[in-house]
Amino acid sequence: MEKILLKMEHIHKSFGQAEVVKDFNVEVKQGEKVILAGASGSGKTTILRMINYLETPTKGKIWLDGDYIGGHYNEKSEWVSDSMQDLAEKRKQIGMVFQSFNLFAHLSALHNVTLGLTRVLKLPKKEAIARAEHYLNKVHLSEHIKKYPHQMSGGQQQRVAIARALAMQPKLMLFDEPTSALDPKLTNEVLEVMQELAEEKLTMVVVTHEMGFARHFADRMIYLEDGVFIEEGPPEKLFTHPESEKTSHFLSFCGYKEGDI
Amino acid sequence: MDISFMIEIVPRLLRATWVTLQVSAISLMIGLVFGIVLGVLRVYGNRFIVWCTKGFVIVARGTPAAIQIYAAFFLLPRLGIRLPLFAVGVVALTFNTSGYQVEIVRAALESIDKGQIEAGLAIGLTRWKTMLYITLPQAVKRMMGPMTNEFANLIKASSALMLISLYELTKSGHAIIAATFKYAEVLVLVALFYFVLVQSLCKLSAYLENNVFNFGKTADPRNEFLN
Ligand SMILES: Nc1ncnc2c1ncn2[C@@H]1O[C@H](COP(=O)(O)OP(=O)(O)OP(=O)(O)O)[C@@H](O)[C@H]1O
Ligand SMILES: [Mg+2]
Repeated sequence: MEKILLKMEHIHKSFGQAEVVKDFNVEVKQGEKVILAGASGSGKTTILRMINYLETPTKGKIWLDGDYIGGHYNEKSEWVSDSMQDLAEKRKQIGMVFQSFNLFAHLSALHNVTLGLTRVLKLPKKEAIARAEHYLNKVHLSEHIKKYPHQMSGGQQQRVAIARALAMQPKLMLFDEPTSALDPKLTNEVLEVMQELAEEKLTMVVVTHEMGFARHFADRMIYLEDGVFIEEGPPEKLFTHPESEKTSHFLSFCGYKEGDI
Repeated sequence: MDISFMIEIVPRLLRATWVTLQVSAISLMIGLVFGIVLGVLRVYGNRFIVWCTKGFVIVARGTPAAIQIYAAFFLLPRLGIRLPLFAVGVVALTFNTSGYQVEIVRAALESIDKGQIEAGLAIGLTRWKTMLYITLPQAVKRMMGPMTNEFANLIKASSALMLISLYELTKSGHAIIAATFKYAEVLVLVALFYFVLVQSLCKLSAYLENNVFNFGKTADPRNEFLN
């Protein structure tokens, strides 16, 4: 459990004039479950997207299990940016689950999962299908593998998206508000699957406003405000004895009250 | 109207219709190759490539088909390229339709939700593979409608090939009128033949769109209303 899997070092991100992430640092250990919390616009999505370089940091370095993401140092210790091929190679080690599911609209649930297996991991077709079925079963969707995205509920779609990411057997899973587009019943379906994953050794970084879930699920919670790190700690501690006024103020807005959980 | 005369000229017009269909269909198909290749480059290429495809589109769409046909007819021999009349027609129409098809492909590619592309990148596909396996297949369905339009336009534009005396439908009708002066009969038939040609294409395309490229009918919300 002690091995460090992910490091973000002095990360800054600007969109034009606006600096939306300011000097963000984090280390995530293998198997750790980390929650990123913060108000809307505080930069949670941006941080998550920088981890797999869907967004390029303006400054700072990201490191995953021995390699920098987005580039590397050559023999002369000069920074060389990653080619498209290198980036793809690194991204396949990171699974991502989006707020809006983003299932491939022209493919069935099964083929949403197999696409990466055959085209990225180059598995033979049979093996890809077997692995896809295994992961779809894991998210309780065995009966729906032939359905197209538009034929499934939001909760089912999000679980397919989780299976699609898991099937690549990534070192790290990123979740960006995976349930915020879902009603409470469907939210529960998805959270249950995530809770099951938490019991395995998977490393996860999750953005969510489901504070009840966060408290059970996470080893550590990080609170952000306006792109600035405010504090971190076990969720229990942030809920009950936050170091910062800002944290307690925000968490009280999240509808969490002492004794709720 | 002289019905027996009309029946008499049907075989001649049918043969000419076949030429019209061939020259348009071949140009459309070659144009499709250019359209997709240039359309993809237009979206994914570097700045220089994008600039070149834009220039091509401006020229191809900005000049009338008749001028392009004359240009092919007079300029190709100057460049030492001697082609049969039919091939000259194909070159001119291909140039013409490619300009429109590049834009059709570009619009379809750009209409695909960015989230689809990000999901592709996130599982480790490269940008090109994302385009090949995700964006393009979804875009094909959205291209069907505009492509049918373009084919209908192309069939009609091919009538300008009469300027270089290619015996397609319009030229053939023109020749019959010149010989017999029965313009009403000929014009009605010629118009009818064009109409049937274009109409059957639209039906074929609608079939393809809904049955071959249907992808569970998600890629295009219009289907909700069509079915
Ligand atoms: N592509 C972009 N261009 C310009 N500004 C952007 C872009 N993406 C995000 N921003 C800005 O960056 C800031 C942080 O956005 P981000 O999406 O990371 O917030 P968030 O914490 O995920 O919020 P939410 O809880 O609403 O999802 C916001 O002010 C947003 O307007
Ligand atoms: Mg967000």
